[in-house]
Amino acid sequence: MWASLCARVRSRLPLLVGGELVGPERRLAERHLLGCDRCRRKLADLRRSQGVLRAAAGHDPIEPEAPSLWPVLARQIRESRRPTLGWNRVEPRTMVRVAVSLAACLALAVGALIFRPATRELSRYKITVTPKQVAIDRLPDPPKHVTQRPRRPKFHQVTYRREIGPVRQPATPSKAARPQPNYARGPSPDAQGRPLTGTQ
Amino acid sequence: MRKSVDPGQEDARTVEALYLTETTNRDNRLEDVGDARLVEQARAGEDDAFAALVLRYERKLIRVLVRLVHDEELARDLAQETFWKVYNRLDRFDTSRRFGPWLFRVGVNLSLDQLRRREGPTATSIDRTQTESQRAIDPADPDPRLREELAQEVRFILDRLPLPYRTILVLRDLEGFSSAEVAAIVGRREATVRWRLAKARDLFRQHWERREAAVPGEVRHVG
Repeated sequence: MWASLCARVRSRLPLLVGGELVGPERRLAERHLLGCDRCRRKLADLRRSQGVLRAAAGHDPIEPEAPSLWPVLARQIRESRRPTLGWNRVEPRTMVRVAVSLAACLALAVGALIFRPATRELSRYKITVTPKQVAIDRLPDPPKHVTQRPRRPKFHQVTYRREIGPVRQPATPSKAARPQPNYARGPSPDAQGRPLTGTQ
Repeated sequence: MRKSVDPGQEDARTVEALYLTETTNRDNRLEDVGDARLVEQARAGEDDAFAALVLRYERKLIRVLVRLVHDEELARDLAQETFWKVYNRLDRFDTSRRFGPWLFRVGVNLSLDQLRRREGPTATSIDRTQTESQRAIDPADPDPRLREELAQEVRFILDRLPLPYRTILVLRDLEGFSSAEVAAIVGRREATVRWRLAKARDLFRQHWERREAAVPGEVRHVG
């Protein structure tokens, strides 16, 4: 009981020295100190070290004629108000966010441009990847009205033809206009120009 | 014989004198204005109001920072950074609260960040060799050299204390802030600050006794 009270008071002695211990705690400590030589010794040691701190507090670590910070700060404030593009007023975190967003948008745009034809082509296929095989199964064909819908030709594929009146089919040459073999001259010569004869 | 004076020069001097008088009067007026009012004026773009706040707090802020980082140049840089940060965050400041603890909180946090970056593991031994300290120091001695030496001893011991204890000891015992102000500056409850303060004082006592035991010769006690 006495030992625990001693420990309790001793833990509060630093506050008693500084005057922060008030009320019942202070009265308890003062009453205990009357009969505890060990705690009184510790109190004396604490008073001595507090005296050292008080003496050090009286020493001003900065020079008395140290210049004020205001001139530099005033210049800094004036420079911050100078009209600029506004980037120096934006917080760095905001700038990073904007940069990341722009980079993401750019990457998406580039990706869309690069992979667009391939995606359209591959969308008709179902790609199954297994550890042992890579199989590409064709999906069921879409309905015919989708696949066979006439597509409008692209501009550069349109060929313009000048048409006057109904288009006429080229007349097949008449039998008379066809070159007739001249049987009177004999058979046609062979490849070397020799006349073909019936005896050969 | 009266020396002839250029009338234009005389006018310029008069204008300068009037400007100086007006500036001095305005500074005197601003000295009496409360912090909250000055903050509102600074928010409205009046640089004089912020200048008054800087002049009011800069010396104490630099002193606190010097005691924490033990480097006057670094402390001045940190103080300037503190004021710049505070200036840019004036809109966020609640004028129903006190400006001082807020300013010191920003400054102390900056210096603690700096110390955490800079400091390696704390040395376990605080005993110096006899060549470093040849005699005991009496805090009651009025000799300025001895006071300087005493301040160095205290600085040496404070360096050995963990940062939370060092901060509270500097603010409370060296700079004289109240426990409530220390709590506001370090962002802890007052009960926590009192507990840490008791622990810090006890640690300082232990280190000081070890230092005294290491110093040869007579040790003079002060009450």
